[in-house]
Amino acid sequence: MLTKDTIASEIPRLRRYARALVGHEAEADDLVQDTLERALGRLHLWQTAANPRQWLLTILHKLHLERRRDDALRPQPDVVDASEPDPVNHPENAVTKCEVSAALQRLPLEQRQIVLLVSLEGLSYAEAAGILDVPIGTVMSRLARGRDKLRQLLDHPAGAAVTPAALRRVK
Amino acid sequence: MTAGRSFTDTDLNAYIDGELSGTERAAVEAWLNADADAALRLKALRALDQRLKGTFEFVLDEPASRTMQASVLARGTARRWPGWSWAAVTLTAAVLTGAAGYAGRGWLDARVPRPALVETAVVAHRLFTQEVRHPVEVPAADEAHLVKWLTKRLGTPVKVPVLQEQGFKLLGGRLLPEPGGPSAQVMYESAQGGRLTLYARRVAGGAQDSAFAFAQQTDLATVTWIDRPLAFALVAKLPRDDLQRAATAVYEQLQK
Repeated sequence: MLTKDTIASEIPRLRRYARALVGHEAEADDLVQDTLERALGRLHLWQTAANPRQWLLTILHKLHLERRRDDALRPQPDVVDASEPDPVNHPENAVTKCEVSAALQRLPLEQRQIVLLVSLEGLSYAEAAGILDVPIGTVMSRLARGRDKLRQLLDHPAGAAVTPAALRRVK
Repeated sequence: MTAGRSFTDTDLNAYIDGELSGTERAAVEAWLNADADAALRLKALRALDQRLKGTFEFVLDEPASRTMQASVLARGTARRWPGWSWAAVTLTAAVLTGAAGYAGRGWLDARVPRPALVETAVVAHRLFTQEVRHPVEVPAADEAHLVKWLTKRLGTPVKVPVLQEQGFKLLGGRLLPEPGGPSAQVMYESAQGGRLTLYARRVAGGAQDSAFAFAQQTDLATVTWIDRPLAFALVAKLPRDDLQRAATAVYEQLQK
């Protein structure tokens, strides 16, 4: 039986994943809030076959896609600098964090999702395939391409970062 | 994998991700031993994973996680969360009415905690701390008038505590309508723009003085207590300890 406690215990990791996926703290937390809201409203729909983390990440991805779609329909989105310094309390690491975060935002979403699910969350290919509803072969090819591209972006930030990645604010 | 097959970076990925069987692993390892370039790419892949993990590690320990956890645990499964959006403002009227209905059923003389007090104070906090131009009815510049006004309308001496030491300066205050008579909200602001509100209303005759009660309402922390003839709620987006210190300061100043 999936309980509120289980869901609560997943929150730190969900937030970490959302932050890496979205790149913007407030937007990421907003996405997590919506995910929790939907999950709590649908506890009865949870199937014992799925582990809670997989289930929550599936919901999070759906909501993220919905938001991007809504965003795309919006005529004139505000553009903000995606490279805003992240954690005030870790100034010594802020630069590295910004680099990684900005590089991630430049990956195509389908590659970013897989790279983060596997590299950051340590999920198996089968779990990632289940969450994103794609075949395992697709997971493998996107993962290899995504990691390769990310490495290049980080190795050659100057050449790659001609135009800084921009985020659209959800609100 | 057969001895004759050629390897690709997909194999390297599957290798570091632990997706290979024993024989497949052995085959990839043999390849890595023979191909220095492949070994370098493997090293780069591992370094990339480490860097990703290191980059976002700090998010796990952010206080926001604990705040969200507390609100998930505190929440009934059927109710929607207040806050986070404009929906909260449209909900406000309904919640205020609901809270009033609850109060009307007599929580004041009951021995129970004070959900209605927390709820009302939190709704008022959300509603008015969002205001940039009109957060208060009477600004801090008119503090003497504010005190006189609130004292008169609440029908009991009202003091406005100083929270300078806690990093908050007075913005001002306002009167709020309540079925049991007017209540008051005093608002403070930190140098970073964080806002804290102190809500006060009269309690019914039977209410006992009480100790601090702490509650978390999504992102907002609250401390409530009764110090007859008033019930108080202190509300802010603060860690529990900080809010409790502020509440202690308020309490002590009001005793004087």
